[in-house]
Amino acid sequence: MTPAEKNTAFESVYDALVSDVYAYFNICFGALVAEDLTQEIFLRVWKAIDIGKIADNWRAWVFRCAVNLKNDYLRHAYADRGAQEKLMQNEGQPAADDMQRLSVRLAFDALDRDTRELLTLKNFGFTSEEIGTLLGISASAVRTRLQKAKQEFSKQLATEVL
Amino acid sequence: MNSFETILQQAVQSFRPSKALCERMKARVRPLRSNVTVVFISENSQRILESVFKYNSKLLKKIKRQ
Repeated sequence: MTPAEKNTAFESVYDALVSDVYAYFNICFGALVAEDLTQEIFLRVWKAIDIGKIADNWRAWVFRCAVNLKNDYLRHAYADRGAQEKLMQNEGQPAADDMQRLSVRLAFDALDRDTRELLTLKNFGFTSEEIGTLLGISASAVRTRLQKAKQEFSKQLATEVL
Repeated sequence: MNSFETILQQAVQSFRPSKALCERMKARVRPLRSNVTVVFISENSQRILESVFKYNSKLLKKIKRQ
Protein backbone atom coordinates (compact mmCIF):
# COMPACT_ATOMS: atom_id res chain seq x y z
CA MET A 1 0.00 0.00 0.00
CA THR A 2 1.17 3.53 -0.67
CA PRO A 3 1.38 5.95 2.27
CA ALA A 4 -1.79 7.66 1.04
CA GLU A 5 -3.64 4.32 0.89
CA LYS A 6 -2.44 3.48 4.40
CA ASN A 7 -3.70 6.85 5.66
CA THR A 8 -7.06 6.29 3.99
CA ALA A 9 -7.35 2.80 5.42
CA PHE A 10 -6.44 4.04 8.90
CA GLU A 11 -8.88 6.96 8.79
CA SER A 12 -11.64 4.64 7.64
CA VAL A 13 -11.10 2.29 10.58
CA TYR A 14 -10.59 5.15 13.02
CA ASP A 15 -13.73 7.07 12.02
CA ALA A 16 -15.83 3.90 12.15
CA LEU A 17 -14.68 2.71 15.56
CA VAL A 18 -13.24 5.52 17.71
CA SER A 19 -16.53 6.41 19.35
CA ASP A 20 -17.30 2.82 20.36
CA VAL A 21 -13.75 2.15 21.57
CA TYR A 22 -13.61 5.34 23.63
CA ALA A 23 -17.07 4.70 25.10
CA TYR A 24 -16.00 1.17 26.02
CA PHE A 25 -12.92 2.37 27.94
CA ASN A 26 -14.82 5.30 29.42
CA ILE A 27 -17.45 2.94 30.75
CA CYS A 28 -14.77 0.66 32.22
CA PHE A 29 -12.36 3.25 33.64
CA GLY A 30 -13.51 6.84 33.15
CA ALA A 31 -12.65 9.56 30.63
CA LEU A 32 -9.06 10.24 31.68
CA VAL A 33 -7.92 6.65 31.18
CA ALA A 34 -10.18 6.18 28.16
CA GLU A 35 -8.26 8.78 26.17
CA ASP A 36 -4.90 7.09 26.73
CA LEU A 37 -6.18 3.59 26.06
CA THR A 38 -8.08 4.64 22.93
CA GLN A 39 -4.93 6.20 21.51
CA GLU A 40 -3.03 3.01 22.31
CA ILE A 41 -5.56 0.91 20.40
CA PHE A 42 -5.42 3.09 17.31
CA LEU A 43 -1.66 3.22 17.45
CA ARG A 44 -1.83 -0.58 17.16
CA VAL A 45 -4.27 -0.25 14.27
CA TRP A 46 -1.86 2.12 12.53
CA LYS A 47 1.07 -0.24 13.07
CA ALA A 48 -0.96 -3.17 11.73
CA ILE A 49 -1.96 -1.25 8.61
CA ASP A 50 1.61 -0.03 8.19
CA ILE A 51 2.91 -3.60 7.96
CA GLY A 52 0.22 -4.50 5.46
CA LYS A 53 -2.41 -6.16 7.62
CA ILE A 54 -5.85 -6.30 6.02
CA ALA A 55 -8.37 -7.53 8.55
CA ASP A 56 -11.57 -9.26 7.41
CA ASN A 57 -13.32 -7.72 10.34
CA TRP A 58 -11.60 -4.67 11.85
CA ARG A 59 -14.33 -4.27 14.43
CA ALA A 60 -13.71 -7.73 15.90
CA TRP A 61 -9.90 -7.26 15.73
CA VAL A 62 -10.02 -3.85 17.41
CA PHE A 63 -12.30 -5.03 20.19
CA ARG A 64 -10.15 -8.12 20.83
CA CYS A 65 -7.27 -5.68 21.36
CA ALA A 66 -9.47 -3.43 23.50
CA VAL A 67 -10.60 -6.25 25.80
CA ASN A 68 -7.01 -7.47 26.19
CA LEU A 69 -5.85 -3.95 26.94
CA LYS A 70 -8.63 -3.53 29.47
CA ASN A 71 -7.53 -6.72 31.22
CA ASP A 72 -3.90 -5.60 31.18
CA TYR A 73 -4.88 -2.27 32.66
CA LEU A 74 -6.96 -3.93 35.37
CA ARG A 75 -3.95 -5.95 36.43
CA HIS A 76 -2.08 -2.69 36.99
CA ALA A 77 -4.88 -0.44 38.19
CA TYR A 78 -4.48 0.76 41.75
CA ALA A 79 -8.03 1.61 42.64
CA ASP A 80 -11.49 1.38 41.23
CA ARG A 81 -13.30 4.65 40.67
CA GLY A 82 -16.75 5.24 42.08
CA ALA A 83 -19.75 6.32 40.02
CA GLN A 84 -19.59 9.93 41.18
CA GLU A 85 -15.93 10.29 40.16
CA LYS A 86 -16.74 8.97 36.70
CA LEU A 87 -19.39 11.63 36.28
CA MET A 88 -16.97 14.34 37.30
CA GLN A 89 -14.18 13.13 35.03
CA ASN A 90 -15.99 13.69 31.75
CA GLU A 91 -14.38 16.96 30.68
CA GLY A 92 -15.36 17.82 27.14
CA GLN A 93 -18.19 15.28 27.18
CA PRO A 94 -21.72 16.28 26.39
CA ALA A 95 -23.34 16.99 29.76
CA ALA A 96 -26.42 15.14 30.95
CA ASP A 97 -28.69 18.00 30.11
CA ASP A 98 -31.86 16.72 31.63
CA MET A 99 -32.86 14.82 34.72
CA GLN A 100 -34.00 11.70 32.87
CA ARG A 101 -30.64 11.27 31.16
CA LEU A 102 -28.88 11.89 34.44
CA SER A 103 -30.96 9.19 36.10
CA VAL A 104 -30.13 6.73 33.32
CA ARG A 105 -26.46 7.60 33.61
CA LEU A 106 -26.45 7.22 37.40
CA ALA A 107 -28.24 3.87 37.13
CA PHE A 108 -25.70 2.65 34.59
CA ASP A 109 -22.77 3.88 36.68
CA ALA A 110 -24.12 2.02 39.70
CA LEU A 111 -23.59 -1.31 37.94
CA ASP A 112 -20.31 -3.14 38.44
CA ARG A 113 -17.69 -2.93 35.71
CA ASP A 114 -18.27 -6.40 34.26
CA THR A 115 -22.01 -5.75 33.95
CA ARG A 116 -21.44 -2.39 32.27
CA GLU A 117 -18.95 -3.98 29.89
CA LEU A 118 -21.37 -6.76 28.93
CA LEU A 119 -24.26 -4.41 28.29
CA THR A 120 -22.00 -2.09 26.30
CA LEU A 121 -20.71 -4.82 24.01
CA LYS A 122 -24.28 -5.97 23.45
CA ASN A 123 -25.29 -2.39 22.70
CA PHE A 124 -22.49 -2.16 20.12
CA GLY A 125 -24.15 -4.97 18.18
CA PHE A 126 -21.92 -7.92 19.03
CA THR A 127 -23.73 -11.26 19.15
CA SER A 128 -23.56 -13.50 22.22
CA GLU A 129 -21.09 -15.72 20.36
CA GLU A 130 -18.87 -12.75 19.51
CA ILE A 131 -19.01 -11.43 23.07
CA GLY A 132 -18.14 -14.91 24.32
CA THR A 133 -15.08 -14.95 22.06
CA LEU A 134 -14.01 -11.51 23.27
CA LEU A 135 -14.42 -12.32 26.95
CA GLY A 136 -13.29 -15.95 26.85
CA ILE A 137 -16.63 -17.42 27.96
CA SER A 138 -19.30 -19.54 26.26
CA ALA A 139 -22.18 -17.98 24.34
CA SER A 140 -24.68 -19.51 26.75
CA ALA A 141 -22.81 -17.95 29.69
CA VAL A 142 -23.03 -14.61 27.88
CA ARG A 143 -26.79 -14.99 27.45
CA THR A 144 -27.24 -15.89 31.13
CA ARG A 145 -25.12 -12.96 32.29
CA LEU A 146 -26.89 -10.60 29.91
CA GLN A 147 -30.23 -11.59 31.35
CA LYS A 148 -28.95 -10.84 34.87
CA ALA A 149 -27.34 -7.62 33.65
CA LYS A 150 -30.62 -6.41 32.19
CA GLN A 151 -32.43 -7.22 35.42
CA GLU A 152 -29.81 -5.39 37.47
CA PHE A 153 -29.89 -2.34 35.20
CA SER A 154 -33.70 -2.27 35.32
CA LYS A 155 -33.55 -2.46 39.11
CA GLN A 156 -31.08 0.45 39.25
CA LEU A 157 -33.24 2.46 36.87
CA ALA A 158 -36.24 1.95 39.12
CA THR A 159 -34.32 3.36 42.10
CA GLU A 160 -32.88 6.31 40.14
CA VAL A 161 -36.05 7.53 38.42
CA LEU A 162 -36.88 10.91 39.91
CA MET B 1 -35.72 -1.34 19.27
CA ASN B 2 -37.57 -1.96 22.53
CA SER B 3 -37.61 0.53 25.39
CA PHE B 4 -34.84 -1.24 27.36
CA GLU B 5 -32.52 -1.09 24.37
CA THR B 6 -33.40 2.57 23.88
CA ILE B 7 -32.49 3.35 27.48
CA LEU B 8 -29.28 1.33 27.21
CA GLN B 9 -28.41 3.23 24.04
CA GLN B 10 -28.97 6.47 25.92
CA ALA B 11 -26.73 5.33 28.78
CA VAL B 12 -23.88 4.35 26.45
CA GLN B 13 -24.31 7.55 24.40
CA SER B 14 -23.32 9.67 27.40
CA PHE B 15 -19.89 8.01 27.42
CA ARG B 16 -19.05 8.79 23.80
CA PRO B 17 -16.35 11.32 22.90
CA SER B 18 -16.95 14.75 21.44
CA LYS B 19 -15.90 15.39 17.83
CA ALA B 20 -13.13 17.68 19.06
CA LEU B 21 -11.73 14.93 21.28
CA CYS B 22 -11.85 12.44 18.40
CA GLU B 23 -9.86 14.84 16.23
CA ARG B 24 -7.33 15.46 19.01
CA MET B 25 -6.78 11.74 19.53
CA LYS B 26 -6.45 11.15 15.77
CA ALA B 27 -3.84 13.89 15.53
CA ARG B 28 -1.74 12.16 18.21
CA VAL B 29 -1.66 8.83 16.37
CA ARG B 30 0.81 9.67 13.66
CA PRO B 31 2.91 7.36 11.48
CA LEU B 32 6.31 6.71 12.98
CA ARG B 33 9.27 6.61 10.63
CA SER B 34 12.08 5.97 13.04
CA ASN B 35 13.05 3.29 15.51
CA VAL B 36 12.53 5.61 18.45
CA THR B 37 9.85 4.44 20.85
CA VAL B 38 7.39 7.24 21.39
CA VAL B 39 4.73 7.52 24.03
CA PHE B 40 1.46 9.19 23.09
CA ILE B 41 -0.14 10.66 26.15
CA SER B 42 -3.25 12.57 27.04
CA GLU B 43 -3.08 16.13 28.35
CA ASN B 44 -3.78 14.91 31.86
CA SER B 45 -0.92 12.42 31.73
CA GLN B 46 1.28 15.19 30.35
CA ARG B 47 0.46 17.36 33.38
CA ILE B 48 1.43 14.49 35.68
CA LEU B 49 4.70 13.93 33.82
CA GLU B 50 5.51 17.62 33.95
CA SER B 51 5.38 17.55 37.71
CA VAL B 52 7.45 14.34 37.85
CA PHE B 53 10.03 15.35 35.26
CA LYS B 54 10.09 19.05 35.98
CA TYR B 55 13.88 19.07 36.15
CA ASN B 56 14.32 17.02 32.95
CA SER B 57 13.70 19.72 30.36
CA LYS B 58 15.04 17.67 27.42
CA LEU B 59 12.59 14.80 28.02
CA LEU B 60 9.76 17.23 28.61
CA LYS B 61 10.39 18.97 25.27
CA LYS B 62 10.34 15.62 23.48
CA ILE B 63 7.03 14.65 25.08
CA LYS B 64 5.49 18.06 24.37
CA ARG B 65 6.46 17.75 20.69
CA GLN B 66 4.32 14.62 20.43
